[in-house]
Amino acid sequence: MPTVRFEGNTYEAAPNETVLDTLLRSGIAAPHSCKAGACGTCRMRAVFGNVSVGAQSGLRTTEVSEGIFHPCQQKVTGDFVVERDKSTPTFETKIVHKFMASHDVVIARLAAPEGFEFRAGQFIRVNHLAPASRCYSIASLPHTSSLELHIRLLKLGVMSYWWANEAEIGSKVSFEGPFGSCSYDLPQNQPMLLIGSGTGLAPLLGVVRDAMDSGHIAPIRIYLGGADFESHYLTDDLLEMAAANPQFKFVPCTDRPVPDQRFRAGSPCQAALNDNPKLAGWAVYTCGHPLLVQDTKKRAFLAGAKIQDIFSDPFVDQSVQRAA
Amino acid sequence: MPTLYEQLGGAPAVNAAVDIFYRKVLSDSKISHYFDGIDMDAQIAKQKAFLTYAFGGPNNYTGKDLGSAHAKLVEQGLNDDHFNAVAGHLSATLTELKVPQNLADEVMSIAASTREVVLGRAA
Repeated sequence: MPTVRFEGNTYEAAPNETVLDTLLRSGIAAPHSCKAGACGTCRMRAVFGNVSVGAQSGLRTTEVSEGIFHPCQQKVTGDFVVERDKSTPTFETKIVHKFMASHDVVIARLAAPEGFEFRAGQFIRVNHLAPASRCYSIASLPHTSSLELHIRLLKLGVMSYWWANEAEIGSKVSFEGPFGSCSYDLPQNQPMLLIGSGTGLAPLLGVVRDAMDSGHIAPIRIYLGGADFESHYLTDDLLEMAAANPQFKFVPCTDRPVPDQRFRAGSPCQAALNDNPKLAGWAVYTCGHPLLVQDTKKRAFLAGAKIQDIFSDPFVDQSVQRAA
Repeated sequence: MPTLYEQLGGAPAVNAAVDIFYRKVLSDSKISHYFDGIDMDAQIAKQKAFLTYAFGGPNNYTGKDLGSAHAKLVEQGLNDDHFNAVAGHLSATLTELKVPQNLADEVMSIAASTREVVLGRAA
């Protein structure tokens, strides 16, 4: 059986397994996120081994020749020797603000570190509790003094425990990044449809803030899902923003009907398509529960949106899996 | 003498065609289920590679790739009807893009030449 050698140890691969899965199965906390070759979180360097074209898709030519690859897309077709990609910079910072936005959502602000360049809507991998690491999208704009993260607290989550019980103003945080392609880079007159669930709101809000800051003039419409009324957060702020800005529309949705008339029952994707059935020429952003994201991408495409105009953060928002 | 690929318009032509083509495929209930649960970005990249190949362009596809890509589906019942459906959508895409008939015929001929490999019948 072919093997994967990593940091001095050799692991046997199971048949038809990817390099990433071999490492994960062997107890290595190899960072990863989308498992689709899109987010770049799992990047490693192949010191030895036959790397396939598919495992290097989307990389720069310089990275390809250095042997950088995505282990989530590389089946163990022969022996591999791999090492961490040490070229992603790590930044050190601290928490400057932290509050409960709902019974289980923390909104935290980290001091923006010197030299950290990003676009709102991209995500970072917080790694100061290594080997545990988690990804969080940045909901705030660059050139403001802090990075805003939205964190859903999970009962058994390692990072959740830290955020809930140990993190406080001044706590040190280190992270890598930025990653992801879910950010604003559109003509000002392109209508925008943003569909998400749970803390998928973070990247979508980042994109909306960026759009409005950039003088976007076309409609911006957010449809946000949540299991129930209690799983939503920032609802009042967003509805106020919509009331004050005719170009901005916000529709919170819940799986089942709730007595609050501001919420629509059913999937946010369905609600969005009911209101906007033809999406030719639209930009569509979708983040949150992986099934919602997958469904939304497909339905937006079928409704006429171009594939290059559909942005989805493949980051699996693990918190939403609990809420679902 | 420009190649077929150049006459069709090269990469921009592939980009224009892939959205139209893939939308037709996904809207066809005879074959759309084969694309359920698949990451769209990855799938579109494959459709682009296939269209580039069908347009006579530079490609990373080898016969083995097309065969192994469809092997599991063939085991599950992929047959000539499905192949014909996809070929029909390709033809309709070329018509929609007003591609001259002689060039369209060449593309369809290249696509047709993959039938045996795709359906796992090549030696």
